[in-house]
Amino acid sequence: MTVTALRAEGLQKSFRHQGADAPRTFRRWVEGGWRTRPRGEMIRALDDVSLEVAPGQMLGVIGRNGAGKSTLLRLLGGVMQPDRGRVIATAPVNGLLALNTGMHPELTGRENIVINGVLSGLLREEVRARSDSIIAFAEMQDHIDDPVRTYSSGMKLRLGFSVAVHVEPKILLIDEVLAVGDIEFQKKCLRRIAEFKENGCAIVLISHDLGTVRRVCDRVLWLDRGQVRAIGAPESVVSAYEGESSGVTSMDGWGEVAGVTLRDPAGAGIETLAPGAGLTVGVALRALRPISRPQVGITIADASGHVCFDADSLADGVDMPDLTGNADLSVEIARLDLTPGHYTVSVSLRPGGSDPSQLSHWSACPLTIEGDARPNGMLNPPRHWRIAGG
Amino acid sequence: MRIPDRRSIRHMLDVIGVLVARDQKARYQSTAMGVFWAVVSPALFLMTFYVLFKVMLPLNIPNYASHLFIALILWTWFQTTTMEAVGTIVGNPGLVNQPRFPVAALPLAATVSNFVTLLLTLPLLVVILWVEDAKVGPALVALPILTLCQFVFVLSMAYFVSALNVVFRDLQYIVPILLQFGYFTTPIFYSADALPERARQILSLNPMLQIIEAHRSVLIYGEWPDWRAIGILLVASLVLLALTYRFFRGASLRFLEEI
Repeated sequence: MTVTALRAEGLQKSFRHQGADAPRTFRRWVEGGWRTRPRGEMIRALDDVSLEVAPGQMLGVIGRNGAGKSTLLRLLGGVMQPDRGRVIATAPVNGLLALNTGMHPELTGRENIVINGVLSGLLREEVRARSDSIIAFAEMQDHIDDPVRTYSSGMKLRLGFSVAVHVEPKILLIDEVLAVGDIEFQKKCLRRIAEFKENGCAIVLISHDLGTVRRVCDRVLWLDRGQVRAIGAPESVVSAYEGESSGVTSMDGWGEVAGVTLRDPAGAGIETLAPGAGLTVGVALRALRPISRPQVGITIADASGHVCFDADSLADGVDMPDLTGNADLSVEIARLDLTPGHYTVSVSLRPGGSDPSQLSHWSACPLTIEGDARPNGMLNPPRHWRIAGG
Repeated sequence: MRIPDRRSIRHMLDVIGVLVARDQKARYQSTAMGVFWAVVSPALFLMTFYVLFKVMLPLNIPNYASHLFIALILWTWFQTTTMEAVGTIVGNPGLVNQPRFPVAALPLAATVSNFVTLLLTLPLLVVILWVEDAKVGPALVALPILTLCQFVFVLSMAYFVSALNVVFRDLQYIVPILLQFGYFTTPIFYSADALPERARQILSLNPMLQIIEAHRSVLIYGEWPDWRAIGILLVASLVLLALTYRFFRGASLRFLEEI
């Protein structure tokens, strides 16, 4: 059994939508004739979300605004209670959520380090012992005894971040704060977070910066309307997410996989497929500048990110014409004998001879194979059972 | 409820420590008068009321300056804490959202911080008592108990208003009006003895009246306070604290849900 630092089991949380007629003020409540509050409709913010983070592992959480990412982080941080399910943490959970909380502009940087450090979970003496290191990390030796109101916003962020990374957490929740300061400082912060990981810190990162999520996370969880849409290897989950978010990013102005559609042998668009049925993957390619000898790759990965199928135009010996504008491509897979479950079909495009990790564009869409899921195995080929004797 | 370990108790104390220190430092750094402001503000009220009710419209209360000043500083502790506590949850979403931050520390820090302000006015109180020749006696031993009693009462009110403000966001405009009402129905610049019997009975239900009168009998007359009243008040305040603390816990968890 693997060691887990932070585990969530079947988290569920609903909020009552505060309707416009709900009394938010004493005045409205009195004017409403002392009636009981109108029952607002319940909104399910999280539905049966489970996850595990091992020591030294970083889990990225992606999803649209309102998908429940912040609610998940609050439940993991223990500042909110789930309606159902539970959170098990083997160590205190620290947050890198809002920087500079509790800092006072009239006080000096040094005084604010103590305030911020204690409010982030450290004891006063622990902050004192680390204050030189905090000041050095923030590169603020010259200004540390000036009032914080004289600091630039960049200096404030550096100071706040520096305190936050000196908490020496075992479990850390990070919410969108990596995008602070200048590029150099950002790199420094990422290095620091990498150090945490090496020292066995379990990290949950919420970010809209998919590039960072791809680079630094070990696993990625995609939340969609409060539910786990996919969890697994960063590349496949992020690609799938990107593929669904219509705003696909272009391949540095080269070209893109403009769309991926799945069809059954009869040509109808599908999202679910019967076991053993054939699948046609339709790909719309768009070149923004001429792409010679383009290569197209197709992978199918399961919900935990394991790639079950990997095909490539070059390896399959397909003679791709140079791409100058829009092109449609289709790949017919005669039969897909995958075990029932949720999969992601990802399509990549890259110029001929280029390294796929350097220059490629991904797009993806989800695929479900019908039937009762099996606990193990990937393949589900047609079979016959015969028995003799007995 | 989980039993807190040693570290979380130490952390809670440190949190209160830094919040109080921040509050005090910030207050005296952003006002020109510095620490003196804590003393100057009640002293100005003292002068105003003294001129009004000793010189212009005499109420004939013995040791009027002591009578007045004791009530002023005790009431100020209650009033400023309540006013600050109203906004503590709503005004600190960052802290309420912070894992490992004990939200219950916010009203507690407001209570402690305003008690520190009260302590700063004690030298002036001693001078006033000395000038008016107050009788100092063994009853001074009762002071810490009276302070504890008021502390529990003020804290329970702080929890109550900060939690209620999550439900009704206009409470921060209503509380000052209620406090104004309390100011005049508490015998601060007048004496409860001068009231008709019936009025006195009703006003005796006001905890601040009991606290102020007990302090007066100890500090001015060297007499023991009315232990029965203080005992009832302490028990009632502890019950109130338990109830309002529960209410506060629920409201601070719910606050994040109201987005």
